[in-house]
Amino acid sequence: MVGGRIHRIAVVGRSETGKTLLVVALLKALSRMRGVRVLVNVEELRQIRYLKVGGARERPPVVEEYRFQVHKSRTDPVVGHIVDTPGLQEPPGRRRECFRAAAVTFRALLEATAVLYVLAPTLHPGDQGLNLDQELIRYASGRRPTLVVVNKCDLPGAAELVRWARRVNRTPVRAVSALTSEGIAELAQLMLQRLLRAEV
Amino acid sequence: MVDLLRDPMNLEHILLDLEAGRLSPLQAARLLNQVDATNSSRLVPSGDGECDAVAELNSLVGLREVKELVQELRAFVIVQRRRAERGLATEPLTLHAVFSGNPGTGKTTVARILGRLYRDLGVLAKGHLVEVERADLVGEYIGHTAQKTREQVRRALGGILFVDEAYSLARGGERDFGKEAIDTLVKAMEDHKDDLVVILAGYRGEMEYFLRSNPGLRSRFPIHIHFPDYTLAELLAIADLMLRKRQYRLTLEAKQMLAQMLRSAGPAVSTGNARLVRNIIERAIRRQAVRLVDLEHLTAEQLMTIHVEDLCHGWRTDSPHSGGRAE
Repeated sequence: MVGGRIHRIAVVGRSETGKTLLVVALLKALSRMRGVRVLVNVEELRQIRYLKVGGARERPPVVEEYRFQVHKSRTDPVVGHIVDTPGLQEPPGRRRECFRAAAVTFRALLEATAVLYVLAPTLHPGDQGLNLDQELIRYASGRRPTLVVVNKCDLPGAAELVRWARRVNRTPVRAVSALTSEGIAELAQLMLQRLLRAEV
Repeated sequence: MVDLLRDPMNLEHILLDLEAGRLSPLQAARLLNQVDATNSSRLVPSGDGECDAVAELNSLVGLREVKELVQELRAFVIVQRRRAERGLATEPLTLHAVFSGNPGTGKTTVARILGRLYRDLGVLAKGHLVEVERADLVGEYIGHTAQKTREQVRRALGGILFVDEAYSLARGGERDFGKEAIDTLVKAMEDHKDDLVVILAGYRGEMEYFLRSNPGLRSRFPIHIHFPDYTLAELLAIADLMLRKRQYRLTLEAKQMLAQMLRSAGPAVSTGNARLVRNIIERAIRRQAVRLVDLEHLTAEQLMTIHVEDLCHGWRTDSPHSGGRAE
């Protein structure tokens, strides 16, 4: 196929870690970078924001994909898809939908070529969900370029979570805030370098 | 145990068990890491991913004609693209399909694999499957139906809209809103020619009648795939796969009993095909647990083995297909 392989970056994490807002923030940061073209229009981004307000749980369990291209000199553009996934719940809720959503997320993780694993300090170390985070980070980083992102770094507990993430795995960890944009531009840059190996 | 981890279907099984609620996300994640430690897996993208979906299809039990047809479709898509690259005339790519067959014959499973194949071939952007039935499409008042149908179409864009028991859209005659759902669907298929594949599924007889009574539909759904009932041997192979995945095994007598049970369950139409096998096995696993729960010093062997009485017990007392089906 023309343009070589497509890089699929799965954004995975538990519910309410701010994955969707992080995706929006990353797409905006990417669209401001030279040589990068984001194939999502502003209207669509606004809708994503709106969707989030409605609550991620109301969404049917499907992934949302956003395309972008990185134009390096002399070569075909590198095509990337950012794959936003339904949030995971551990322990899982009772509803069947919860498991279907989890299966959708796992499938996206298995099919991804790179992974952004999202944590947030609203989730306390020591709870059962962190075991899930640990297993999935281990799985992802064992096979694919993986970045761990601690979102909501403006909230208390973020530093502790960063330490936890560094302790459990050698995967690079970055603290950002999708809300205030802190660290987002650097994350976008790092994502292109490490996950796509396409330096701009 | 090692066999299970080497089973090439393993990742898919983990996903299916997670989806069905038999595994929690944490359990599924732990299994993934175990599988991964022993086995470099099939689902890991390889760049030319189109073989993944085909390999997965081929690993399903039976379904010979379905597999051949999917191979044809894949070849067709690839060759049409090569023709386009050389500036030759190309056939339009209409991939809307009708799947006919009894419940539990693999229609949904194959549709899901097709979605991935189309995505890997670049025909669809996402290749996900949105499963709907009459109640998801048909509304309660005028205008409601078009709105509901369009909403489902929107969810399915970039993937496959799988309409189960599609013939039920035609019931109720001219005044029924089902007809409006069909019209909206047909319009959406034209509006999103390059971004949506619709699959209509249902019993063979009903689907044939449905298409006969809506002549416009037949030409819009050029691909017809019939899913035959599984043979006894195929059902037993499916049972074997399910058991291996769960790390159980049947004694020789239990195997013979299972064959006898499936045979006596009567025509596959009434029994739900692969679903019947799953029900029998899950019941037997529960009965085995009851038999073992009060015993001490259990060996792994005991924990894995299902005896003939585990199978029969569930069958005689609380199976919906019990007893007189063979009369």
